[in-house]
Amino acid sequence: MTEHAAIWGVGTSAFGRFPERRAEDIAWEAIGEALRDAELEPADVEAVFVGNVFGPSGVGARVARAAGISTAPVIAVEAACASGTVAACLAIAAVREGRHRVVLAVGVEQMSTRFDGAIVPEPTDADGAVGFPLPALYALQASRYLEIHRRDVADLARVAVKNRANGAANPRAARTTPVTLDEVLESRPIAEPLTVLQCCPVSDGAAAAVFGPPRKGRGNIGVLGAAVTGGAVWPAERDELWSVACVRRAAAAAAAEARVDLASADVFEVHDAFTIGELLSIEALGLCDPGRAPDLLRDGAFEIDGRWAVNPSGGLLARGHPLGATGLAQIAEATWQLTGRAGERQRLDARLAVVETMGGGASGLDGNAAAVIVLARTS
Amino acid sequence: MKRLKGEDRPIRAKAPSARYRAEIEDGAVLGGRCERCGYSTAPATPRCPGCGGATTTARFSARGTVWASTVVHIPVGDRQAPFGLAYVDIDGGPRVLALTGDPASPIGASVRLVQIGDDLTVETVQE
Repeated sequence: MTEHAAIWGVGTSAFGRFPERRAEDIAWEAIGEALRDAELEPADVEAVFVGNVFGPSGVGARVARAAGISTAPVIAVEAACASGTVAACLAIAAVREGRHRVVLAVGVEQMSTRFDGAIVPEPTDADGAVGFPLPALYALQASRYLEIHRRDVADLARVAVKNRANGAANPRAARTTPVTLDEVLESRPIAEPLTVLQCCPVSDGAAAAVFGPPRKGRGNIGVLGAAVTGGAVWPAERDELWSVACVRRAAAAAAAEARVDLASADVFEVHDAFTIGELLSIEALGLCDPGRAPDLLRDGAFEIDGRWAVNPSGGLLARGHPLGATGLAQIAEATWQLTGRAGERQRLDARLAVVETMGGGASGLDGNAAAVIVLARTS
Repeated sequence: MKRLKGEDRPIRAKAPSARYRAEIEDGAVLGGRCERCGYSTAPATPRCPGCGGATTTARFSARGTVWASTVVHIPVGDRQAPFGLAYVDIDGGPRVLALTGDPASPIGASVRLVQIGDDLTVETVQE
């Protein structure tokens, strides 16, 4: 590595269901804001990494066309829910290696024109062939978590209450109304013990970040660590819940690169596609022992003004989860938090932020990919 | 326990590529085992997903223990809600996803897997 990488600018679209819009127009909303934030013109962009899962094929080229980015290589990345974060990691690597100076990472997904509800994994894979919706994958982990840690479904539901409260201060979120514990518990069951309010809404959206070397004379958001891991066999020798080992590998690699203890960060944007996911991510990141996250949650440790602000944006549960866009939306929130631009959901004096995204669905693996990025305010 | 019977299930289009799913033949779950580290999978893979070693085909017991279970309340493809799903740890073999009834088999239950149509389905074993 020859260069440090920094974030020059970020942007997002609104999140929600926009079946009447075109994907590249949604993407431009994010890219245009990121370029303005970075004080750049489209022609300054030297390479583009696009996080996207469900296409349509060629969406990257159309996104670049709409944004007025000509001849720069446009490389699409698919890593399930972690696609956007992996695209960001590739953009960061390109800057660090000196291959390009100004690199755009953009994630875009139009879910509403493709799914009525839950995502069903690829039917040519073993679990997908059974008719295994993504909520059921997380529901199975939730059922096991509640059993082995002697927890109650309310311990899961409190994640939704916290994140929907945070999302109520995020005008771009797909869900901007708070919910009560009873409402979460009494909402329609999807896959036991998960109710619909414990599942992220199907959403369209885009998010973008411009990466480059640190610029003199400006406050920068430095990339201290950025790591991607692929999947390993699951179950493994250590009998753990699905996804935990995968996230832990990415977290260990990112922490080693950043030379920080992740628990010293103030802000976390983590993968709460389902309530259980946030608890598993918190534990896999090493903030507490397995089974302890519900206690910390109930004690307020993960509130915006708690020990760690976890998903101050409202997370995927409130913002929505346009798969390819999610990682970059997390990076945008972390950047706004670190630069004091998060409005009513601002964590006071945030200095260090961790972004974690978990992508899965392939049978017999602990994940398709997990990515963790560590960001810091630098003067 | 309620189960979907083969004749009750609607006809589905063939999958567009070769099947890749756990199956039972003559009472045994078909899969593969690594010759180097012993890791087992169902279905088999060309190399061990854990260590990269060579694999051989293997036949596993259809008996196992429920690792986790859920009841799904949304229709998925042609499958009507509600239906149960469980991960079953096969005795001496891999973890497989199987259909269950509603309510789902509890965690820790001893079960037998049977094939009904395309699906591995859980039968509770009386202790």
